[in-house]
Amino acid sequence: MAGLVLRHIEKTFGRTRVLHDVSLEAGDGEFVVLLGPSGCGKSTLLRIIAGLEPQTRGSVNIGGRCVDALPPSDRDIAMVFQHYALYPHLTVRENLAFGLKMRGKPKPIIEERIVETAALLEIHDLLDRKPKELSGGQQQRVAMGRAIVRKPQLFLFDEPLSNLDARLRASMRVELKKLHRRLGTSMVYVTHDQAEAMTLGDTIAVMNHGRIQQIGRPDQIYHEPGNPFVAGFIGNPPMNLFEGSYRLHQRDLELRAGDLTLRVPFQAHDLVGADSGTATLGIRPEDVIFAPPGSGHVAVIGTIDLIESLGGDAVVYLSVKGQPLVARTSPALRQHAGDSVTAYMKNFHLFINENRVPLPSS
Amino acid sequence: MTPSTRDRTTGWLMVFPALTFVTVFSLYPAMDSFLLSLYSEFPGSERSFIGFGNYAELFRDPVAHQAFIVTLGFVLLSTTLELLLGTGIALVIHERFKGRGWTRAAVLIPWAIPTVVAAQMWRFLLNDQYGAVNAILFGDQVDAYVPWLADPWMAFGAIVLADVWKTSSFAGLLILAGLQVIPDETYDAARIDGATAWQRFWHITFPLLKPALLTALLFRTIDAFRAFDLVFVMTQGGPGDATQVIQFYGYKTLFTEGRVGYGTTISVTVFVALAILSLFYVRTVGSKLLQREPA
Repeated sequence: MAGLVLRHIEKTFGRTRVLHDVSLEAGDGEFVVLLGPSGCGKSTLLRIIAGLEPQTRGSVNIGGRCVDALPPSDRDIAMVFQHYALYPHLTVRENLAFGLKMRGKPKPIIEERIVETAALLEIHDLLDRKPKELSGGQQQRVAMGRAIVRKPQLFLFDEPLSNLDARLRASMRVELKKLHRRLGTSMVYVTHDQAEAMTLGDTIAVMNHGRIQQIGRPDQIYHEPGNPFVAGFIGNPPMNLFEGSYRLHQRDLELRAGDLTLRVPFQAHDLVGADSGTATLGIRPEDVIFAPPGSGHVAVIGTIDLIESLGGDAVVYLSVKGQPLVARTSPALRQHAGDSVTAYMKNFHLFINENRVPLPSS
Repeated sequence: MTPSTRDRTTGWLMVFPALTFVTVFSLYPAMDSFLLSLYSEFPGSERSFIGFGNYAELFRDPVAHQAFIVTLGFVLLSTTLELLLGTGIALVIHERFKGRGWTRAAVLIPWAIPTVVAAQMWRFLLNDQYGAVNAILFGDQVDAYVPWLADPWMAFGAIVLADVWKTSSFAGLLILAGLQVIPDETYDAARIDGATAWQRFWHITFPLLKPALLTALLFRTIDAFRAFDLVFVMTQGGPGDATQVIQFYGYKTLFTEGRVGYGTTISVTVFVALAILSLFYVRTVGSKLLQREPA
């Protein structure tokens, strides 16, 4: 049974359309991440799922039941908010109990659930404190506890870790993943942080300008980005994208971006109608190397503008015939800024008319 | 000069203007009033030191007792009504609707009108012969016209009404400020938690509004205790002593009867009572305000 099915969701605020025909399915127990830059409509979509915002068109199904006409409280969901939204005047215990109390659950059951949840999240010693007496991480736990205690069918997370510092965020990420495995409940998680998306999601839906750009497993999204936006959005540093005019030759494709000409191996493909036109060629920074490799690489000569050493590896910023090229490589690089260097590239990504065109693996 | 002495000198220089202002315009008059209250003095006669004689008299004065009761009734009734109405106003102008800006401005108009003007307006409205209230209620039936301000209870009701009309919007403004700091997310969370509109008000809005309500309460009680101009314009304390609030009694004793010492004693007593009340509020409410969760 599907945990969540969204069909052709549209949303307009006045004259502005913020969501365009969004359809999405999450299986029972699946962890779906809505990933996109701010303003892409991901939080609005989450609020529509929650029932906090009505959609203009389309339908929302949760647990096999259409919930379009139901208020948030009857959708069997729980939500964790970006700013936690704990009730500041209530203790942690009262915060956890609030939803159950509003639903008229008997006291012994409420107490039992609180104890259970507190144990799961290791917050039992915080139960009698008020939210302001808690650290950010503790508040985050309580916010999750408030969601868990109700045992909903679907969890919604709206950038829940974005207010925590980097270290805490990383550890909460791990805990969240464990929690999901333990509870086995479907989760929809909104974030703009690709690291969170890649580590947490079973499925990632990348959004931009109110449209879903690509839905897939994290490795799919990373290795086979469906369009230049996804290619450029996922990965750190982002993929190098060269936009220009292409021409097909017998066994390769030639792309001219400014003064730079790249020739990559190519086989005829249905998606490519014309022998020439405009295209985008992408290459991930880690697929650019400086040591002479065996074969199958495309070599270009560039000048190093800047080297950023990150300890474990280094990010090298180059100019290649006026085009910027970023490489991620080992910090043992001998060259320095200003040096001329040959860069070898393979594993290109080709996009024509905004669509990915598979290239023969080199 | 060591840096610390220089810092000190700069510090004193900085506070000097404010300190002078407070000393000349607040501290000195307060002290002088207190000294004056220890004398028996009439204009044109010798002042004689009588210690706390004036205070002893005030303690026994039945008119003063009556004035205290009227003041207390006025404070309780008007403050309660203003807070209730203010909360209602705040809840309405907090909602998003077309023309909210204009509504907010319109709501504040009574508060912007000077009290003396408002009081005069109410006196006209309630006039027993040509007042709009009688005209609206009874039209041509002139015989039925009610002399509102001539009846002790109705006159008291009238000054309460005028005060409530005038200052509810101010209370509303303070409460609105309190409403605006409650994040929308909190309400979203409560909606998902299954709270109905009434439960959201009772369990979320009301408790989170307490600091704002207490601030409004503080301002309004102190203001109501000092009520003078409404009474001065509308009723002159009458009929009988029905609307004679303590400040007005003090004024009358001092300026009409010329009992400088005794009139000052009344003022000083009100001043001390308010100081104690303020201190109490700041201690209890103020500490709660400081504890308040930053939004």
